[in-house]
Amino acid sequence: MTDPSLRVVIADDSVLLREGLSRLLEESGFEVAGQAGDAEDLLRKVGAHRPDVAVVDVRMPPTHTDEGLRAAHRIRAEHPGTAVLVLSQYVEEAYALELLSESTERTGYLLKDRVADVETFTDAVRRVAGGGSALDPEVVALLLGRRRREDPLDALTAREREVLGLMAEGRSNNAIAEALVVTERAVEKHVTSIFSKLDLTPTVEDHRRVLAVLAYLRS
Amino acid sequence: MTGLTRALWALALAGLVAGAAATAITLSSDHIPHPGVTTAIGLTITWSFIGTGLYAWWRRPANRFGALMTAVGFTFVLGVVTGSNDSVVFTAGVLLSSIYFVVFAHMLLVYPEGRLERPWHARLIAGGYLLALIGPLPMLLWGFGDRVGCDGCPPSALLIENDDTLRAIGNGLLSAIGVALVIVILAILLRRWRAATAPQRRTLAPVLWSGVAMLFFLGASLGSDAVGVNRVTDVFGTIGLVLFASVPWVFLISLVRGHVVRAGAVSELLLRLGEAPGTDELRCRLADALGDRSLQLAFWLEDKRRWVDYHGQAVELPAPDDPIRASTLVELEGRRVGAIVHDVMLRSEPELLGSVAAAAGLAMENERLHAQLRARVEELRTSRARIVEAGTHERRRLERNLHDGAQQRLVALSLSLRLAQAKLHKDPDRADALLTGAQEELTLALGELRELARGIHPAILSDRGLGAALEALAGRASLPVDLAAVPGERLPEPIEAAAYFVVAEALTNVVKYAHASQATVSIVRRNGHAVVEVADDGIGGADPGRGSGLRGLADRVSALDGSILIESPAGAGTRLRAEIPV
Repeated sequence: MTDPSLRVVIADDSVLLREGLSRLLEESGFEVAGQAGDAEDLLRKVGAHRPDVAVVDVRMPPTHTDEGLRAAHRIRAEHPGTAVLVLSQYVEEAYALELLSESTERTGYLLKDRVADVETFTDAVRRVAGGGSALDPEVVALLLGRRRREDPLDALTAREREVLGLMAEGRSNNAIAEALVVTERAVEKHVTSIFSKLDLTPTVEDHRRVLAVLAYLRS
Repeated sequence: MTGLTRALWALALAGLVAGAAATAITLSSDHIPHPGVTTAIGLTITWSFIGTGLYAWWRRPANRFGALMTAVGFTFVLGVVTGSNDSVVFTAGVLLSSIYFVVFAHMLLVYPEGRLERPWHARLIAGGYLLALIGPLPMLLWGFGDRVGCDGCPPSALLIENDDTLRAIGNGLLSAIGVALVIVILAILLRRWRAATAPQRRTLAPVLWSGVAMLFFLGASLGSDAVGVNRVTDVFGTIGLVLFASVPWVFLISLVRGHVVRAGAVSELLLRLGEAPGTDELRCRLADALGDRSLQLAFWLEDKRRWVDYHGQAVELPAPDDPIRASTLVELEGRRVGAIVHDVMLRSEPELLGSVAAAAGLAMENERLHAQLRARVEELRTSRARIVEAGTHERRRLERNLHDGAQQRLVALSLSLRLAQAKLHKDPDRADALLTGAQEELTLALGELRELARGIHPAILSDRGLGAALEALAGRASLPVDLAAVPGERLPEPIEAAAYFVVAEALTNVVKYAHASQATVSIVRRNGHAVVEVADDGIGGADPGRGSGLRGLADRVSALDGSILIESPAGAGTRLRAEIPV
């Protein structure tokens, strides 16, 4: 299941976390091409190594606000071949949506805690590297849980809500089927039903689908 | 002409007629030694009391003093009936001749309030009336003996027989009771004097002293009669009579003099108020003008709707039924500026109070502004103290949350890891389960820490500003929140933080208490202020004093010179509006 060719650059101002991440990724079969302590360093290393994925912390020196996010935008703009997975200390849907609003392709937003769950984490790294997207389940839960007047989400069945959530996380039909232990056909049926209930135009490509779902949830 | 005025005129007329009738009786009497002098003295006393009494009655209809003074005049004139040559009329005259004396004592006891202080005073006076009626009985029953001035009196209609012994015993007994009564009344009056404040004494003095002197001398005359020293009787009686005649005049003079003196005090006050008074200066000048050293000033703060003293400390005005202190409102151009808190006795001089209050308006307004400033400083001081207190409180809360939450989980986690380590080789399955548990515990600990950090200060607020932070807040609320308006530009950080926490606290309250189906949040810039509004469609009736959260918010907002207003009519939702200057 490992793809030894995936090369990663890690940016985090905490050396401890950087080292931990690096070890974890290497043990999972990734090649860590470089480590950076701030955004400037990150951009330089991404330019030099042209990695498949950059794993970036939101808060970094000098201002400790959202340097990571801004660096992520630049990487996506300047190095289209490099996917970006942003790690955040906070469940901040605004950051996630901002990151994913232009394009969900090769982009991900995860809570920092997720790195402890090795499988979820490496899965997300692979997904963004493969051109897909990854959105933290907590952010998705927040978006789904938002209270609206005359909420159209109320029309969904419990299973459909689950499927919608997994779609928003950026998972493919195949992955959703696996997660819910159902056939891919069943997932396809749910997806069609969801799109018609929410009055969305059906799209095939995963990352476009994520875009549509997020745009919907955000409104 | 009112009913009262008509009645008073009628009484005045009755007084004239009574005087004329008394004159006729006296002049036709065959046993009054000096009819001319007696008539002159009698008429003077009668008419002075009736005239002055009617005037006082007319000025203060609610005060019984005037009525009693008038009654003294009328009862005094009854005594003249003793001049009648007819035995029965003469006897009736003798019986009624002492009543005026008790009415007079009654009048002294009600002065100046117009009513008796205690129920037993009323019983005392009732006893006095009875004694005055039966007092002459020994003479009427057992003859006048060699009493001076009654040589040609007609015989008593009640005469049984001339008996000097019985008469002397009866007279002595009744006189002794009379003297005792007079002493008790004198004691009451003297005690009242001792308890009186300066302005009270000024009012009490003239009438009280002449009255006390009169009582003393007439009492002494009674007493001497009792022991039979008849020559002294007349001397004391005459002095008493002169003093008695002077009472209405002294009262009138003090009334007029008081007016003149106080008119002078008010005009001087007007002059001196112009000299920019400082601390306490205004109070002293008003105290001088009103002659009340204990006078205090209270200033009205319209925005806070409460009274404060010169130092801005909250004060209460005396209750309307306070027996010692009373207050008079001071207004300027129809607006309430303050109140003069003074001795209740000054109420008997409403004209004086009115003119002083009118004169004080402008100066009071100046001092009111001072007081307002001081009240504001005081408020700032206390709110600053509360902010410090709130900070300490918040730290304690954080410490507790950390201790009870994340810290406990980490301890448990550390234990699990140790156990897992121990089992690693002997019981790998158990170790695996322990590690899974540890992982879950860790996730919970991280989640708690994240929530705690957000509660302290949401990162997104400083990173992205109010709009994004409020959207995140709205997204997390457990009811639909409509973000109606948010400023497009960033506001200064303290204002953004205050606005954010106002909305956060307001939404927490909406969720907790309002039973609302939705809330609307709007922040707009208007007239140099950031106006934060949180409205809901819930049950209303919110108590602004409820909870320390709102109090803390009010402090936070007032620290930025802002204000918080809560409108919460029952059944019509709650609207919280904070205005913070930008």
